[in-house]
Amino acid sequence: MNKRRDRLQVIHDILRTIKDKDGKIKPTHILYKSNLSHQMMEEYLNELMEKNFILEEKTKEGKTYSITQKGQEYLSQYKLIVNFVGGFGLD
Amino acid sequence: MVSISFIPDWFLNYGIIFELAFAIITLFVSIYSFRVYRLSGQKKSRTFGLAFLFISISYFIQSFINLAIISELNENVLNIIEFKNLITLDNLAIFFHMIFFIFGLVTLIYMILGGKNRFIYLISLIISALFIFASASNLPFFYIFSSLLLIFILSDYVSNYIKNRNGKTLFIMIAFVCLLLGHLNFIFLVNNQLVYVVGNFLELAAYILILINLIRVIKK
Repeated sequence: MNKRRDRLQVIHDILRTIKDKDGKIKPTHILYKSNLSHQMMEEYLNELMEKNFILEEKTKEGKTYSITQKGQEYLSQYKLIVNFVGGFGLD
Repeated sequence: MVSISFIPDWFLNYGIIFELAFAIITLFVSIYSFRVYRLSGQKKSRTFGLAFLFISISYFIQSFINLAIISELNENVLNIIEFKNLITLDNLAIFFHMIFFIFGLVTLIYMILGGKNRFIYLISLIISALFIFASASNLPFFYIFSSLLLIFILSDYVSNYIKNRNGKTLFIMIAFVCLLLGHLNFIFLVNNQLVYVVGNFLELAAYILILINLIRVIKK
């Protein structure tokens, strides 16, 4: 349960970090805020892109990430998700 | 959940109300589960939603067909052909209830085992359906089979409760205890109509606990 809750929490923290940065953020900043290893962060970012929670944009200065509508929904419904997953033993 | 010939006369209408209530509660759980899947992309939620959808369908089928049978019995004096048709309808209701209920339990087990292989899942569903078909809708066989599956599911909820002792995990564990007791109880149904009523109340307790759990989850 804690492992899954942590996972949901990490996703929440990454999305929150992106949102708090007014939309666009560099991976180094996410790394710093999420307290993950570089490899773990890459895995999470790939998963979040697959789920359409974030968008990656490649610029001259490097990659930036922005939150999507689906990502915003995750943040606003985070409590429901965590409670449901914990309440029905889905972790 | 059984042939209407096993249901005491005074409980016929209550039985249908119970079945409808079970169908609606499990449908709500399924809807919320799919919603959580849509929001989070968590695959376990999707499988859980599918399991409860199967269980919901099993109760809806049973309740609607039983309702149709009882309406027919109330309205007409039946000739032998009409009576035979009703028995066929009754058997169909039992068969489809069994199939969908077992599909629900198999789906829950697939989720518990962290299933990622859809082929194995499909094979499990087909084998379960064949089991039910081969048993010719034999009620004790169905309840023994469902009880075995429920024991496995319950063991997971017990271990979940031991790991995370809180009200929510306790509620869901007790719900599955009630569901298991109800199904164990139904094994001894033949020649004892009271067993049917007791089993129904145990199931009602199970689904009320699940509903309370759902409401607590939504309200928080």
